[in-house]
Amino acid sequence: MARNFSCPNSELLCILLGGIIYQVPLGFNASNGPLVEYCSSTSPTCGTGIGSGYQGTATTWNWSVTGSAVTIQGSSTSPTVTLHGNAVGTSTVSGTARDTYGCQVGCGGNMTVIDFLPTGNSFFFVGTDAAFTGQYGTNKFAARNGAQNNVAMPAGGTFTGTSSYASDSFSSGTTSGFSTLTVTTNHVSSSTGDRSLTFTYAVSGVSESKPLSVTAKQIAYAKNDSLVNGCTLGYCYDYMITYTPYTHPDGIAVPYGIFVDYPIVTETFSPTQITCNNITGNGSLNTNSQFVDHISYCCNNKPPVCSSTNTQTIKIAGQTIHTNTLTITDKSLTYSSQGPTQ
Amino acid sequence: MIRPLFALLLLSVVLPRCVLASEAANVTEPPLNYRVERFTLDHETLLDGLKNLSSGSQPFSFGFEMPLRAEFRDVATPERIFEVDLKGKTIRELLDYMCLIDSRYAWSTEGAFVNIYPRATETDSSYLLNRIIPTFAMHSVSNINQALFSMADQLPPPREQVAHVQAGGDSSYPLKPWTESFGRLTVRQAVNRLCQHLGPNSNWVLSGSSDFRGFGFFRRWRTLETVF
Repeated sequence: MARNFSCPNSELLCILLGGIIYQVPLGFNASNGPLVEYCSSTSPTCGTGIGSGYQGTATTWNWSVTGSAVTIQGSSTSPTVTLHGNAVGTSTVSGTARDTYGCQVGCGGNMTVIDFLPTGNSFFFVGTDAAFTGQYGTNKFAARNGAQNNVAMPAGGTFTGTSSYASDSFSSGTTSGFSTLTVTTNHVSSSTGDRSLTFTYAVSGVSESKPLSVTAKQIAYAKNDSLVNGCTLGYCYDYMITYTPYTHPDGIAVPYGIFVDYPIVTETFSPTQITCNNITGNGSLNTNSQFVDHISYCCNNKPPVCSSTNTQTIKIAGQTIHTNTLTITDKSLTYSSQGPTQ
Repeated sequence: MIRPLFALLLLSVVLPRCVLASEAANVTEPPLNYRVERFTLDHETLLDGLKNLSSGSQPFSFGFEMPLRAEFRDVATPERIFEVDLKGKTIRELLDYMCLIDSRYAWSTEGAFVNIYPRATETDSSYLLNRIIPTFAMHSVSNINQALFSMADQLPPPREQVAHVQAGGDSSYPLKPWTESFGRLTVRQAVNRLCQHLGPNSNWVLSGSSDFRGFGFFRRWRTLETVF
């Protein structure tokens, strides 16, 4: 027998043949049973129908519950009882079985009702940008209750996770009182929803696990809008180029409104020195999940003559998402996209 | 590489502190007393360090002024490279330290900004960023070029050359045209205002030569609100 279920009678054992369930999700049902009597003695003392090591012939059963966490759903006089998770907490469930020879055994145990729903995005991003794996990262999953308006209940449990891709790692934390797990991966999904994350909430010696099918997305390429010269007041040019980043494996634009912190867009140039003295720097995604690449040579006086050709490499979370060949002169910008485009 | 502990000791005992003149303003001041778990420069420049420091968990805005070479055609002097690994220092201590190891620079705060500038320009009233704009105002400004040129136009003679010279990053202004008056400001303070209008934790860099001064403005989108 598993713990909490005991049989004081040394001759007969109380057995739940279907196994014992110690927890039930709030609002759901779980079955215990069937409950049988079983003789463990070589010298049975009760009735004549029970032999050594044989299952008894119980004919009546009676189940009862103490506490309001679970209620009996349907019959309480059958070998198997169905228990409904009525409220968060623990109830004691007892069952007795009696045979035609007057023998009776009883089993009892605690049944805990857990209210747990792991919540998060239907995806997480490849890489370690703080916008993905930081305090307010997109890759964070929380242990909430089913209504998603409170922590998982009973409170105070532990929240753990596993992934179908073994190298994925989980780091635990707390955000606004919610236990959280942040997933870090370096491996993009092959298809949408192919990554199975299993989250487990354990409390009071019992646990509940729930799987989530999600997609490990990688921001992989970016497409830009057309170039419009915004240097209307002075000499030269000013191009504010807006890029929309796309992800693998689904080939769709990064959804807007998903970031609290925004991924950094790093830009490097080769050669590093731009002859026209352009100051280089990084950007970030914005609230539209796009980013702006500002290439400006806009002056209130006629500038000195200059020219250089540089390769511009744009990355997010270490992944090259776009490259351009730029010829920057004091008079014009020649912009040539080198992809990737898918 | 200078040994970090020795350098900090030297800083506090022997050398005068970098200039620190904080003006009260209705903006979030840089978190100078925040203790940074670890700060490194791995074959990086002071500007690299400032970018890393300002984009950490306690972000802040900054303005960085490189020493201007005499003429545009002069070969630019490469920024100095450092190897640094410091633990448990405050942002104030780290700024002091960076101004120590690259002693060409001094730092101060102004409102939300940390400003780092060539120490040699501190008392030079003709240096562009030290010049005074008696009354500084923006009228229906919708982009950084318009703002920068308007600022230059509001300086008393002589007329100053300025340029927005940038490759990479985002310097887009909010869509709503900007109208605001500030009164008397230095050009450095005015450039801080232009940059601040990009959004919190934005930064600017001045580079180039005395005959061709270029600014870059970098907006950092960041909304660290508890919305989880």
